[in-house]
Amino acid sequence: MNKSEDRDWERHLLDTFALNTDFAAKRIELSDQLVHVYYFVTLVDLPGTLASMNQSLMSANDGNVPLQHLSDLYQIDSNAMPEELAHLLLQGRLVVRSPHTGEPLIFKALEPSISRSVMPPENESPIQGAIDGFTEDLLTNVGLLRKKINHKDVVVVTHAVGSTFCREIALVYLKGKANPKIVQTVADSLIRNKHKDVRHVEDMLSVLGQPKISLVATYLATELPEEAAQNLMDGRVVLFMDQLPYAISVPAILKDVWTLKTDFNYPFLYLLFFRFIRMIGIIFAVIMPGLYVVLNSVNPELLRIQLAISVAKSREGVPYPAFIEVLLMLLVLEMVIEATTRLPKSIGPTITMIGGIILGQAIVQAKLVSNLLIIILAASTIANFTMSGYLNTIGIRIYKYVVLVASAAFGILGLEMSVIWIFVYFAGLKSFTVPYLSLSLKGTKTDE
Amino acid sequence: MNVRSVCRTLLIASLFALLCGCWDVRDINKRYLPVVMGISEGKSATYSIILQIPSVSGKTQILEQEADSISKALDLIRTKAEKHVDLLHLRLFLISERMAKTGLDDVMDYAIRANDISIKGMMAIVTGDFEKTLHHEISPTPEISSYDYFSEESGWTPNVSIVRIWEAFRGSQSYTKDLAYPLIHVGTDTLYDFEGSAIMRKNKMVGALSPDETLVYNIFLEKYTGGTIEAAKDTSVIIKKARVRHRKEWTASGPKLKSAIYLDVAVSENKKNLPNHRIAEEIQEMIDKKGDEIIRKMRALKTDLLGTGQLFRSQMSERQIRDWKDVWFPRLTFDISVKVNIRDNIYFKEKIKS
Amino acid sequence: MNKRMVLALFIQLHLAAILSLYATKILESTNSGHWEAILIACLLEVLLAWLYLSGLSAFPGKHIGEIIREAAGAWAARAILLPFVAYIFFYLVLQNRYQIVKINIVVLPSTPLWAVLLLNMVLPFYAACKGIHAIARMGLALFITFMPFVLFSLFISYQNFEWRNIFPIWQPKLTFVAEQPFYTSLFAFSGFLFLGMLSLNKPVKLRKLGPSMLLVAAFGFASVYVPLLIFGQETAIRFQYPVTMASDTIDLEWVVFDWLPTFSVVSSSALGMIESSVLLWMAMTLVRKLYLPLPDKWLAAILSIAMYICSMQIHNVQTLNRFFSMNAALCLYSMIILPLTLGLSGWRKRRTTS
Repeated sequence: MNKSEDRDWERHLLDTFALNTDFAAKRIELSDQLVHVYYFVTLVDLPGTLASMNQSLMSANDGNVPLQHLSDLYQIDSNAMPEELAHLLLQGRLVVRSPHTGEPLIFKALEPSISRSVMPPENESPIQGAIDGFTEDLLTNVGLLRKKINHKDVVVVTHAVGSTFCREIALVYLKGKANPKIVQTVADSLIRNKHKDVRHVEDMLSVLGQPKISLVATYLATELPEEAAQNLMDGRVVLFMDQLPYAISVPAILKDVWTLKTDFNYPFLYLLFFRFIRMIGIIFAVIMPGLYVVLNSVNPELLRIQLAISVAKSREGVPYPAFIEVLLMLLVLEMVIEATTRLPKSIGPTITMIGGIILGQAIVQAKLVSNLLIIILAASTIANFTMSGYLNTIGIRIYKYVVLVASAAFGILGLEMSVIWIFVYFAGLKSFTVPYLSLSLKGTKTDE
Repeated sequence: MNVRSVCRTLLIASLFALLCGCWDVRDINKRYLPVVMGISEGKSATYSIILQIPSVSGKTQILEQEADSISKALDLIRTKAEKHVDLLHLRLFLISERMAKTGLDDVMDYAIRANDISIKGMMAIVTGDFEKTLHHEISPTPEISSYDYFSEESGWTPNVSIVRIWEAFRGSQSYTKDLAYPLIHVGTDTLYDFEGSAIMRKNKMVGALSPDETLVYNIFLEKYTGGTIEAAKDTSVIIKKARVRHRKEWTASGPKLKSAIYLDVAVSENKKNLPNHRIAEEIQEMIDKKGDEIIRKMRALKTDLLGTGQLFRSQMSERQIRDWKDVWFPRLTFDISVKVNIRDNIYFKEKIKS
Repeated sequence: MNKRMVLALFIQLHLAAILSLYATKILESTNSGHWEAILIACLLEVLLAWLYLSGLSAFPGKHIGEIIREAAGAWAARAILLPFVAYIFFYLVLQNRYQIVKINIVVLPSTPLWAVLLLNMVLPFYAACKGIHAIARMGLALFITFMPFVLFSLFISYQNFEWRNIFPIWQPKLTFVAEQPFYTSLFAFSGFLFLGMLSLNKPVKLRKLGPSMLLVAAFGFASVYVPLLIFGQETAIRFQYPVTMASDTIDLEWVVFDWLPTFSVVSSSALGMIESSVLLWMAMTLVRKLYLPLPDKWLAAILSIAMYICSMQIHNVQTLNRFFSMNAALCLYSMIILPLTLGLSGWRKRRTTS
């Protein structure tokens, strides 16, 4: 109990975080005892934490509660102790040296207010549905989800992964609904790849053993607890990453491209209508640019004569082949989309105007592309964003180039073959033992 | 491994696709899209081909060429044209009367065989000055209007017979049926004037039907909507509905056919205030006469214009079908009768007095 | 793999064959009473499929290669199945060749054959590598997406039906039995053989297959009678692609696209793609199990390259037709001997176990 004599773990902590000015090792008085505490000033609100601890110690049993009883019951592996302690500190815990044994005690600390509160989601706009969104805090997120789905069978398992970066991942599923095979696969891969660092969603996907390159996202990310709850109900496994305000649900299937879980807040007929529109949107988005090339250069016989003449008229004077024309315009459009997505809301409209009006108008007048193409591309871009989930739109955006190339080479046949190809691709794709090309997660039924 | 193989396939496929882009695809604005093809006998060669091409500016471009075969002529046109000539949108074949009279076997063969010509294109025979008809310009895009002229959705009337290429080909191949092609002439205030129909036997034009007879012909084949019939004495009626009932019999002396046409009409003009039964009688008489005239022509020209052989198909053996035109059709006793029912007088009541 | 996928594949395999050469061959084989030829083929298939399935049901979870090896020994199995493998392979070659020629004529006149064939090689290869489960899923997806096109292109021309062309309807002598094209046409009903390759734990029952067989028969009738009703026997017999031609006879303004045979070709080539994938997979599996134990990917690559080379060696349509008739012998062998062998071994196994 020599105050000057630090324990191994203490020395290790001091060494590890020596360069950090926000790391603090202090001696404080806690219920009449002098103790050593270690914490990050930036992550722990010390006065608040101490006050609440003191209060608890006082109120219970005339202040005779040992400090240990208040601490988290962490089973700290004595071998890996220093590393684990470091992780816990980084997660915003308070480490106290036990005044009696000299072992570290871990306390949950109050956070300084650096987490945001529950707010409406930023990137998803639910209409006629619950509008609270996930935040960065893992526990809050799990809590939000539990609130949305009051079910005794909801299982929450937290895993800490990473060797240098520590990240907490919570795995949530609904026992009885979720396919045990999926749960098993996910849990196994989390345990097996415990040592892997998870910084981004991509890291997590690699932890989960998903292919690195995949045309469609094999997971669903949502900011809405309501969506996540519905995903649970559908039998999916929901994963939360600490500091990521999204719930990631696996596996994703084809149906998710045109369904939103909040659709169920509407009468059934409306739901059918929405989904129908989205399906049409997908078809439009994928096919339109390719079809333009088909009709313009390879199979113009498909156009009615009246249309053929007016199309020819609109293309008169355009020097490029249709394929180059479309490619050029598509790239410009992609850039407009890419530029506007992350711009501050005050500048966004400016780009839209420059891109849409000035560029669009001028490019036609300069005879670089035809009028019709502008219409077609605008239609296909709008159609692109009708589908549900931002992630899915990207896959379609990419795939439309494949369709375009195939159409330019093989005309209507190429268009058809590229559609078949994507079906073959989907048919061969499996995410977490579930074939992508299925309509339901329950059972093994596979449909379109 | 799986991912890599997918990538590789993709890469190879796209590489090939890029390679493939090099071949012969022409953009639509680099093609001529003729809509009308005129075929007549040339001055120095067997065929003279005229193509009417709608141009972007609204004017018609006309390309002409003579050669000994149709494809050769088209080839020569392609050679001299500044854009690629694409026959994909060809919708109307105009054939000169003289050509039709010598036989259309090779034209038909070409039109069916060519994979860039849709067999749903229409055929018509031009009487009078062929060149003038084809160079006749009236609206900014004559090809579209000449196409509309025959289109059932726009300008077609029951007085006009329409024949598509495949129908013509079927007619020329069929054992039990002949056809009438529309016969047109250069118009004065419109593009074409309708002259009646050309009676075909196999692939040769052998006679003609007047426009009125064509109407009866269309009624008999149950192909018409809302045509107007002028009966004598200043009355006319609109046909609302027509049905044809056949009573056929195969006797020892040969096939016997009695066809009854039932017409539902509305009186559209009645200057002399005739009672309805008189109108009905007049129309019956008129159509009877026309029908008899058609039958007379059929017999004289030995063509089964009304497709009576088709009606007997169910009663004939394969051999008899084959012999229909030569053996059985001349022995056919055929009679057309008409029953007219006047459905209404549109806004008027029926005039009872007088 | 569930029942629905098996049935969808079953229908599509038949449909692919029916939409390719079937109508042409049936029209060649007889001048009248086509339905008799179709019906006999259907009944034959029902009989053989019953035998085949009864054999299969004795060996759940095994495919024909394993069953015959178990019943007759490895070398006998190799010998018995060799013609079957050859049939599958040559069928693949011929069918692909037929497809690309048709595509070249109707849709892509300027694209070289080798490029189209390449496309027809790469996709089935890719699908075959993914295995039969992926193919089955893809089959179901394509069934949903392309079936409307099939129906559309087949029945769009109903307006032009001339029902009297159905006559003469009766053919008492069944003369087609002596005709070579009839036997060639039987390949369209060899689709049931693929059921033996699936290694299903619960083999399909013939009763479950009933509705699909009815559907297949209906399509068989449609593919022959649609061109027959439109063109009549005299004309239809002259066409190489009667079904595709039939869809060109109609001009519909409400369809956005103009050139309707494209739909026919698009739908039949989509079906052809599934057929090729399944055939390639079957050939690959049999070869691996019986002859050459190489990894799937290598075998698929070797087979598809061999297919590509063989297909390119067929230089004209006459040769193609001749090969089709030659392949009929292998087809008949597979259709008759395999069910017999299987039925026999199933019967023997049941007797020994009971």
